[in-house]
Amino acid sequence: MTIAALPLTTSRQELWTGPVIDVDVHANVPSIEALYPYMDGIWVDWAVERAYKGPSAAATHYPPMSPRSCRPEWRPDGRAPASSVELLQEHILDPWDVQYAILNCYYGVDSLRHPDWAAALARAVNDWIANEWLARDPRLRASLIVPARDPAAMIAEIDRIGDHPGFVQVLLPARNDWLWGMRPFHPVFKAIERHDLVAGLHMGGTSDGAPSSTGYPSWYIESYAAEWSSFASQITNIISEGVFNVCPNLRMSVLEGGFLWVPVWGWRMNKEWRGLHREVPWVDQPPLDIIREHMRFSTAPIDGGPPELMRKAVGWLGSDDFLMFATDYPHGYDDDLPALLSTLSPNARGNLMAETARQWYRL
Amino acid sequence: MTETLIAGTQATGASSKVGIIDTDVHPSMNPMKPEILKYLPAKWQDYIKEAGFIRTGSPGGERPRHREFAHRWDAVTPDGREPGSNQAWAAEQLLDRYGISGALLDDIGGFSVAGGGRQPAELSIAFSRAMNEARRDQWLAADPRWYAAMTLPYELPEAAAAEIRRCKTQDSQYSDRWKMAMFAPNNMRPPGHPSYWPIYEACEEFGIPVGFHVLAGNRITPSGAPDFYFEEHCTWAQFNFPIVSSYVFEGVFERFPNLKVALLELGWSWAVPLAWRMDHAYRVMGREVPHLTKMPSEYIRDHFYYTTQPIEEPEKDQYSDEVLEAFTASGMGEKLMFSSDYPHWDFDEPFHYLDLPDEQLSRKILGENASALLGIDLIPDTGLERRVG
Amino acid sequence: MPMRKFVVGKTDDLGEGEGMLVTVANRSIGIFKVGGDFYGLMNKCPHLGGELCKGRLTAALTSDGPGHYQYDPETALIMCPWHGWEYDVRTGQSYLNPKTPAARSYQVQVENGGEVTIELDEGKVAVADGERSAMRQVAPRPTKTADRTPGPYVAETVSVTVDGDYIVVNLDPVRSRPAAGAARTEENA
Repeated sequence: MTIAALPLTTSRQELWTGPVIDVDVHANVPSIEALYPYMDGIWVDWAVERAYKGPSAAATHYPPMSPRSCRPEWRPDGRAPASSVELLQEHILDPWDVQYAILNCYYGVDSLRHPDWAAALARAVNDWIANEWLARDPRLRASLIVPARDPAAMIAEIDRIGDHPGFVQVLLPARNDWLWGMRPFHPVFKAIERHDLVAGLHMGGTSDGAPSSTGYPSWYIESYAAEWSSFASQITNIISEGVFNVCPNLRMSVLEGGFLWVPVWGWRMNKEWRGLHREVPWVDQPPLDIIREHMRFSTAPIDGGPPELMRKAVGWLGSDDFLMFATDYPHGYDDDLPALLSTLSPNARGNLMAETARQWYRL
Repeated sequence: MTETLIAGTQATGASSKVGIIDTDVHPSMNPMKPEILKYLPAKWQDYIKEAGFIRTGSPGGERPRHREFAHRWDAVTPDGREPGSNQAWAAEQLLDRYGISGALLDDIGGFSVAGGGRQPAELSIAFSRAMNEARRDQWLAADPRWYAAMTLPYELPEAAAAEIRRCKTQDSQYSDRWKMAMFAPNNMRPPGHPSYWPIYEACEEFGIPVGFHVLAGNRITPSGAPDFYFEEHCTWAQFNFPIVSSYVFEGVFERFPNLKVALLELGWSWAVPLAWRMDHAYRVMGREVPHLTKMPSEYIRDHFYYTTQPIEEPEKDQYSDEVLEAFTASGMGEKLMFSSDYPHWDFDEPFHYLDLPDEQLSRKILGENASALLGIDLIPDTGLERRVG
Repeated sequence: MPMRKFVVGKTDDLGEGEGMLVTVANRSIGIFKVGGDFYGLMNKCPHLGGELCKGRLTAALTSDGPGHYQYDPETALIMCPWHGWEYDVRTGQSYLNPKTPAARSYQVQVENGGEVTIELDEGKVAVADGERSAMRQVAPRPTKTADRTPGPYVAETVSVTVDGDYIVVNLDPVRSRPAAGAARTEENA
């Protein structure tokens, strides 16, 4: 049941009558030319000289014609999916009657190595979002994007635009050359915390080497299915490196990573921690408690199972304040939102559909 | 864990003891010992002396274990030597103590050398054979309860297949003691890739499973190496995701319908949500893989096996029951096998699933599932008695 | 219940921060000298049943952030040789994961000197049988309990007293139920 597309047989009001906050909708840059107005001439020249169409990582994670990258009913004729605020309003903001939606623009800036060009592209994307999306619909908030490798450039961009009232989050792709918790990135997290932004760990990113422990996957579906590896290893590293000791007020969202793997992962972390904590003595509480305190997870994908087993698995999350609704427009999933909601208490349902996000993002 | 006992459920005359097979035991890890090197051709012994052997360290550098051999301190041998270096001591501490019918040895120390592809190819091949011959003479010959997984040069698939055939056909006395083709998560390519299929052909020929076991591996995470052993130990559990995904989506089980894959020390509770995720992905993107004829969850249910160690320690006892229930309800009750990981520090005794309300499930987990997978008989009237609650 | 006393050694058998394993009436007990006093622990880890007293004596290590280490030499913890759980040698209290509070306490008595010698002569005190093995130990001069959040398990302490030159084990602990999760064996069934 493809609930996120609101099939004609179900209206939004039949599904849910309370407020809705959608924490993951995408703005897709339609072409690099759309960003030219937002960058200095040198970067326009470089792109034109090279016939550079933009960074490759976005297509790595979202092959343009894959049903995962865009649900068929959301493919506009002759335009790139999710490439304008009008499309977003038509497909999501109006039919779902959202109070707020959080725009994530995964443009794949991480795959461009030149440190200055990558920083310029990131600036351009953020300005494009601010001018052509945030300014055009008061329901929108957004993540700002940053270059992936240079902490100083990341901090500069966070300082430049992080106080814009529309930006609530900094997007960090789940793959990177280094794990995000490592010490050179601690000042970046401090900047995020200083601006009262959320760190948004999101599908995407460029690894220096194979994007897995065991080489390069052959098939796209194979790569997608195993992508828990990226999220799980990042979360484990962020906790192990003591990011939340350095930034005790830091909030992190985990977007497009799923959530049903988190309890069994957390149990293993807790168990290992009890025997091995002396190596990381700053991890002073059970890792799964740290996850509950500092992280929230979006519900696209749900990746759910049979109702009774789901009910138990959701119970293992151990918190009514763990999940945040997302359509992940325009990406395609095979999710059953009513089934997930049915496993939750009324309080937890309201939290999932809006209240957790409202508190988390200070909306 | 709720361990209430149901009395009076065994057949009249049958032993009430629950038979045990231990599917993960480690001889001492360091292969650079005279008792192993002596099996190498002289030219390679000389080569190693001069050029060294393990010239690459752990991926991204090392994270020293909190104990020299990552061992339980009380498994040091009576003469103060490395745990796992003394077969008789291991037999006493493990097999005798718990009445174990059979234990499967796997050589972690051999993996990154034999399989990792970081030595001259011929040396990799010779070394794998040397480890297997040493294992045969020093353990298999000493006690019939020892069985072994073959150390293989798996990045050289034809050579690995040849070594499987050699072990399974040339030592008639021991052919049947070689029970598994062993991989570490060291693969240069995902293990389902067609380049590895000659190995699976040999496995199907002899009816043995492929096995994976934790180790630092080729690369630890998609975003590089962790700094801490604690962190590494946690992230091993994500090795499963690309391994399972590769086997399923490459169609390995279409080509090799009898092949089984055993995941040792890699956990098992993740398998249920992963199966759900892969089914959902298949419903959206399945057109990409028309060679599949079943749902991913069916392949997972039918072909993958798991070991119990390290035992799950959820936040509440009731979650232990629930996660096991979810596992068995998903059709995987025949796939979970007891393992101790002797002599490592996170070792488990066989008591954990001994007293399940469902006695048959206890028997399956402690011995029968492994017995069926590996072809190891449970020795009558051995093992542990279920305990009155 | 009559007190059963066993002489397990002499007070100078153990240096500061050292321990030894003794077998007393079929029970394996670790004896530790910490801060000049003697303590006893049953040689079984409440977590998953490892031989706790074959572990290492260590001190509490805490941190207020990455790169900072506070090692507290005033504390004395025994680390289980299996999964590394840590217990205060003097109280048996585990640390980490505050799920349940510590459940039990034991009293340590100090006897008047001279009585043990008389009782030895009168046959009222047995000399411990079984093996004694010295263990490698580490801690300097521990006097405090660790300033850490208590954990769910408490290792079973054993009353150990000193009489003149002798270390005496008293097998008469205050009875209570084993902690939740204690591994089941013949000893605590």
